Amino acid sequence: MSNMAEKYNTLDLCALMKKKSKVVSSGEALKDVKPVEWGKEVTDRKRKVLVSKEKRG
Amino acid sequence: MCKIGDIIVVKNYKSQGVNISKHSFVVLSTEQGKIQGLDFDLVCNVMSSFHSEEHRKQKMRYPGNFEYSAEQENVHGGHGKAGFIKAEQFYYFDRNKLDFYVLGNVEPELFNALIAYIQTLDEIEHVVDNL
Repeated sequence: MSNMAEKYNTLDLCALMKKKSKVVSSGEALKDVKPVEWGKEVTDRKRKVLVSKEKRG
Repeated sequence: MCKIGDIIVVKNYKSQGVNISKHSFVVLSTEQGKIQGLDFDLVCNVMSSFHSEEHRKQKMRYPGNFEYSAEQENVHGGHGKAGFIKAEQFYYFDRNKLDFYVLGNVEPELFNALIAYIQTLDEIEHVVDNL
């Protein structure tokens, strides 16, 4: 079972801005993206989705 | 309102003629900043599904894509399929201009693995036309 008290690390945006970068449009960026098909209960907002790294029993 | 690690879905938003509704995003940062002179307070990666195993193999040849694999995945409330996060693309939003809802969240271990992976990337693509 995952440790629910585990902390979310912070993304260092300043450091990432120093990387090689380019600006792209939403159209270009999303052209190969297939929207995730969440379950109906999630899309109806009756429950939240949780994506974990560990496999649960 | 959202926080890092949340998964959000944008509602009825059209940017530069592109409809970004129904796309799911992982919130990477809620810090305020400026990019190309425009204010933002939300930075996200977009999530994508795989069409097929062949599609998965094609997409995972690309280093900018971060997979949450079928072996590792546990998606409560999901569709039971693996997918990937486009780790090299940063979508910038202004929450005052964005209509979205929080669908759920990515657990810290997976989120931290994503953040660590982003740090290794050579190039970042910035999507700023939603500001």
